[in-house]
Amino acid sequence: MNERSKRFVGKIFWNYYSNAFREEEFLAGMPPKLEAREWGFIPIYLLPKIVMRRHISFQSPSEMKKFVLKNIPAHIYHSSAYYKYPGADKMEKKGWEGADLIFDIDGEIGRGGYSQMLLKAKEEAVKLKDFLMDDFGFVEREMLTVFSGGRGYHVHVRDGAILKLRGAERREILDYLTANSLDVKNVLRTTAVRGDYGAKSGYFYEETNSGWGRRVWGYVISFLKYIKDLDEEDAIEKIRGLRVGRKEKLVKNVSKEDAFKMLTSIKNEKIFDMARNGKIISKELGNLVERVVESSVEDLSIKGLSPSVDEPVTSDIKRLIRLPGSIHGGSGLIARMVDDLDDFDPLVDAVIFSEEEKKIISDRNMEVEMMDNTYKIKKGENKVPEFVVVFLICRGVAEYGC
Amino acid sequence: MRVELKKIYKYPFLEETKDYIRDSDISLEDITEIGFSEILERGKRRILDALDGKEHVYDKPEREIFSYSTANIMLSCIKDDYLIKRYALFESKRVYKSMVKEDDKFIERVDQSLGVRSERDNKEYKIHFTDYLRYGTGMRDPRWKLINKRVCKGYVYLSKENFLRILQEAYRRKINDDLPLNVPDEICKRMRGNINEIKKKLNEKKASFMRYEFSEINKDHFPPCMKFLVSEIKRGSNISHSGRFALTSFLSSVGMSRDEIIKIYRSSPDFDEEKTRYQVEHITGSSGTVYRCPSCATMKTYGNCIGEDEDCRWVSNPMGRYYKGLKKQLSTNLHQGAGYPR
Ligand code: SF4
Repeated sequence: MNERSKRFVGKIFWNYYSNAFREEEFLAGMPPKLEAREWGFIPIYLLPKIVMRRHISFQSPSEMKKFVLKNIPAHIYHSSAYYKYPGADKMEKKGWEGADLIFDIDGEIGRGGYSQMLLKAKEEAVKLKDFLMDDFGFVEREMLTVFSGGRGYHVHVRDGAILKLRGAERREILDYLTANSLDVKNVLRTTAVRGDYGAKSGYFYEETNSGWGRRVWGYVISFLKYIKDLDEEDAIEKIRGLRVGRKEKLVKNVSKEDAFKMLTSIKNEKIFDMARNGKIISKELGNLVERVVESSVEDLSIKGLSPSVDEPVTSDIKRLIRLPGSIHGGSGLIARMVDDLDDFDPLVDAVIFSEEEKKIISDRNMEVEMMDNTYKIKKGENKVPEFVVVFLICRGVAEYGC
Repeated sequence: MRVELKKIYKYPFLEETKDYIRDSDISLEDITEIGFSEILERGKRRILDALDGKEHVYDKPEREIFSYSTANIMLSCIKDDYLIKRYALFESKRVYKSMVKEDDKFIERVDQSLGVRSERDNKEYKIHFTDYLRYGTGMRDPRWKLINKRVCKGYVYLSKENFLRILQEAYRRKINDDLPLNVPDEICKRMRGNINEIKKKLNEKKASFMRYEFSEINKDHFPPCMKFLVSEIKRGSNISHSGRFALTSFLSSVGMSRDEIIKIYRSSPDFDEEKTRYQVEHITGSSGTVYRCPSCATMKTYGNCIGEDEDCRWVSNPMGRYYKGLKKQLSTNLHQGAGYPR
């Protein structure tokens, strides 16, 4: 970002914040107990150098407004923790009094570009919220979902019961959600069965008393049902496509022949019914189930969830989270609070700047999807709406052309 | 009330027990009088039994019911961290053993006074997941990990045994947190005889740890996580199974012998020579596999990466962090030796 771009971005961010502090929606994004939070800012004028000014505290939004307008920030963060002395410069001196539980989901960079990544992240965020409601018993209004402005979503939980949880305890929750350290042996019991079921021998699967056990077994059964009713060709392809991630070394890919045997064995009503009750009496089916179990864990667990867990012992920048309603200085998008994830499209709903055309000098050819449009940008000078201008300058791939 | 005494005297934290003591009108001062020497004696026994790792035997409910508070007073006069932790551990184990024999109705009374809200659901108990995490996170067996439990709508479902283990842990923490109480010197003085006897036993016990001082191995360069684990043990805290595993494999990799490693664990409140030896031998290769020190990523997952600092950058295993420190030291020594300008 050159000086001219910085001046431009600085000016329009200033405009945003000078109005924002009057708006209900923005003020609603302020975390509860604002005065007990530590704040951190990355100023624009030092960009591209990322300098974090932290250990700052405010008594009120208006005090914060003064600060923000004086030092236009590219990023605004607040601590998930509550402190007695949030402004103290040493972690030990702050006096930790509790912390929100915040989950941070990032989309994984991959094919399909930014918008695909955001879609992926959204799926995971939906899954996360389901877990939080079904398993942990939170209700919708106890969770604040926020688009991060960057690659994903943040879910803030501020229910009183979790505030005092310590680092290791929070990590347990994270392990639960990501199925980290899940050993299927611990949640599904298998016992060998012999001859009693009119067939040779096999396993007897049993749920242990665990939520994950039920999830995994439920997944297995619905997968088998689904395969059973598929065209033969599709079914075989599905079987062969089962990912056997973690233990790849141990399992060879299924041959067409074996896949066919597996399929035949579920197609037999009697065998399928027994499987539903956990009695797996053919070797082929046993093999198949093992694979399904493994890929179920992949599919059911939440991906991209980073351990932004609060650990009062270590000091770590992760413990600061972007202020809902503030601008992400790496995208020019706003960290928008989301009511209904299904309906939310960050590339429309988090765009705040105008459509007024402005010039930019791009350093490459590219396409930008925003506001339901695709903007083709060529290397060199381009005229595009202001929101695209800000987006590209913030991403660091173009400069302001006045 | 009479009938109840036989039951409640084993559970000093119950409201009924506290009421009983209150109604009896025996004051702190009274207890230190000659006539009550048996109560004092029993209080002392509770502590000495914990120190020896013996189970405290009860026979006279009407005396025993007071001995709990006298034990607390003595512990508060002595104010020794290790002793309190050790006592908390054994006292809570004792309570667990008697709770196992109680029926569900009675258990319901118990949990309320320990601050764990629970509900019965058929044969199981359900408790809020935050309560579960508070007390279950320190448990060593992976079966206690949340992921291996049934979690539904905010509640964790537990068998009676598991639930009682949680109560045991809640009780242990409660003792740890409550003690030492503020006891006037006057009272401590009156119990001098008993207190001195405990102190003597305590010192004998401590002498037997033979503090190991990391002679050859350069402890200064231990990574923060390992320093933390060692200091936790020295403070008398229980460390998690994964923590023990990490520390043992680390110490063994830096060249410490099995006996030396066992010595380090000796100051742990729940030290059990045989078990520790078995574990240490297992990890250091008796089973045919020598376990390597877990990576930083694994350390993080289990909450054992504590105190990560500048020198931890670019290292992926605490061993790497240790060697990095050693090398740095070595090169400063060299530089200084080579007489570089200041
Ligand atoms: S980063 Fe690695 S070496 Fe450093 S404290 Fe954490 S686990 Fe230990």
